[in-house]
Amino acid sequence: MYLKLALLNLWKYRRRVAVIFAGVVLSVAAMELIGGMLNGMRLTFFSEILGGSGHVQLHARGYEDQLDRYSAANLIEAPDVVVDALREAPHGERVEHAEQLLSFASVLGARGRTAPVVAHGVDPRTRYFPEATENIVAGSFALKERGITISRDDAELLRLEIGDEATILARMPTGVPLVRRLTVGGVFESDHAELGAGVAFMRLSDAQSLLNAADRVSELRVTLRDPYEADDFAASIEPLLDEHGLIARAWREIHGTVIVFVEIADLTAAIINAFVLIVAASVITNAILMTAFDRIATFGALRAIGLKRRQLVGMVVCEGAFVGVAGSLIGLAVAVPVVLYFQTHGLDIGDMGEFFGTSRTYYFSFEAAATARTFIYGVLVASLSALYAGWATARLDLIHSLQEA
Amino acid sequence: MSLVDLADVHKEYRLGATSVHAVRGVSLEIREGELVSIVGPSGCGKTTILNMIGCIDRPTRGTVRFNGQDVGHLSDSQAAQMRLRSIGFVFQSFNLVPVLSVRENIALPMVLAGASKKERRRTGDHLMDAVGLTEFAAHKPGELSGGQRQRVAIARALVNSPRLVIADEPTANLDSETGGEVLDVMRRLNRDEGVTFIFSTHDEKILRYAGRIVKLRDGVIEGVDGEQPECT
Ligand SMILES: Nc1ncnc2c1ncn2[C@@H]1O[C@H](COP(=O)(O)OP(=O)(O)OP(=O)(O)O)[C@@H](O)[C@H]1O
Ligand SMILES: [Mg+2]
Repeated sequence: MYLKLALLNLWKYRRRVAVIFAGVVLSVAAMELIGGMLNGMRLTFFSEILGGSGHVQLHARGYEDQLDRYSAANLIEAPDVVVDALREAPHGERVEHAEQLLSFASVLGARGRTAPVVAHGVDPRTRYFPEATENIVAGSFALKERGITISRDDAELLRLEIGDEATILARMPTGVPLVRRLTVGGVFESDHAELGAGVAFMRLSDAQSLLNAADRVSELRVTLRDPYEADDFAASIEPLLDEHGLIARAWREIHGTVIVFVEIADLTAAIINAFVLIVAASVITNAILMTAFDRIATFGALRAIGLKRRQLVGMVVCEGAFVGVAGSLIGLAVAVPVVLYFQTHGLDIGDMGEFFGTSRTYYFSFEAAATARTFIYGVLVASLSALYAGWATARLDLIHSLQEA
Repeated sequence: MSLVDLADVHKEYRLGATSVHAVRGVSLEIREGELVSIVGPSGCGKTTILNMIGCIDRPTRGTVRFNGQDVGHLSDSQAAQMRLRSIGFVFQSFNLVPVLSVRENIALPMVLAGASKKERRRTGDHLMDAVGLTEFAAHKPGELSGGQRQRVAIARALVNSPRLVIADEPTANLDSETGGEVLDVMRRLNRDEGVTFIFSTHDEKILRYAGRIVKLRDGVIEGVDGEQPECT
């Protein structure tokens, strides 16, 4: 009968209950949408950005002081030994993938024109640089011996087509310039800021022989099973690094600015959520207070016939919690399909993607735990508002309540 | 032993700097089975006295005993428990729960007391019959006349078999005919079931229903009409 009384009271005050209900529905829906959006952002960060850069990058000591990041003067000796060590116990079980890279600044020339490019000597089946490997517009990425894959912008600038020959000019670690002829095997197109024009790929072995740097690389790129272990992992391989004169940079360091964005977005979301909750709480509290103060005489009578203060508060909280549960369910019923829609279809955010270093289409991400949290927030905000309203009415002097009649 | 015993009871309401001395030294004894009326002009302190007897209010001075127990110092929840188990209330403005049916309104104190559904049904049916509302069991208070509503309130007041029923101006919102009906019900329940009633009124006409009349003026008992029954 308690519950029935609560339900009947809700029905009696359906107008005001509608306000409370709308408050809960809107705030829960807003929180769910914001949560889905930001969760998508976080996932994009991990898959797109970290997918391309790996979680930990190893360089030869002194890398951080180099004026030119792509100078070939400072290379890792005996990278195979390091990679083997990384693949073995105790590190092996945390490492999912490790690759050798030799990146260097160079000049590409053809038909009397030149273009500066950063050339990456990579494994022909490299796991990294998805912006290039996944966006081939001509030929294929599969690097052949003495082959090169270039960006569309550079191909147009140098008037190069698949099968054409180009000259690449680079400096050996000793500073002596070297020239070599390469055949264009693939052209990629990327709207990525750092991987558009001015980037080229060739086989690691070609890069090594071009620079006369056999068995030396500029970087070891590592992907871990758990990206959040990166800092810990970097610390744990300290002895190995010391032994080989290496430094490690974990993704937090590599992507400082992007992470700041992710963190700012998280903070913004927390602030928006807090704001939504505060607005909802005040609207809901007022509406519940009104329904409660309307019934002061009835409440007074109930208390006179033996309803305890605590029970009265319980009754009002019961009403609030009911609206909270129903409203939160409806709010989620509205917002979850939207999140799921944008999870599969994506939302076109245009050039903003470039700004964040991601693609133009932005995918939301549904997370059950976050949704459950949102549900609980919705129920809590209604229940706590009701608790306040119930307390405010129950604390009234019984004599005054009765005189309200 | 008396059921209610007021000894030199005072009540002062403080309103900021001023204070209202609503009850000024009332001593009164009510025995089980009595039908007592408190009468007096508006503002003389009737409601205040009834509230103190009913554990809704506390005296500022003097003692209020209910069934031998000093009820002036009960905690909020002890007082609520006392009201639930031992005292029934009938209010001037009925104060029924608008969203509940007649049957549910009557059974509400039993729900609070934790009675079983079966008990609720049995007692509820009996009381609805006693106040003549059986055919209105499923109606909401809003669909009833004033006299019918007050009879629902009386049934609700009786449902936990209280030692005492307090009715503060139960007929003030009713015309004299329906007021008479309501008082008839009270008198019958007093006579047949031995329920102790105290009711207040400022209507001289309905005093004939009372076994004893306590006349109040300016918070002081002016006189008592009628005999107090002998202690049994
Ligand atoms: N809660 C209160 N706060 C302050 N003064 C009060 C309060 N309740 C009653 N009074 C005052 O105490 C006096 C007695 O009031 P009470 O309600 O007991 O009178 P009453 O005899 O019941 O009057 P009525 O016939 O109008 O119901 C009045 O002067 C009233 O103004
Ligand atoms: Mg009064």
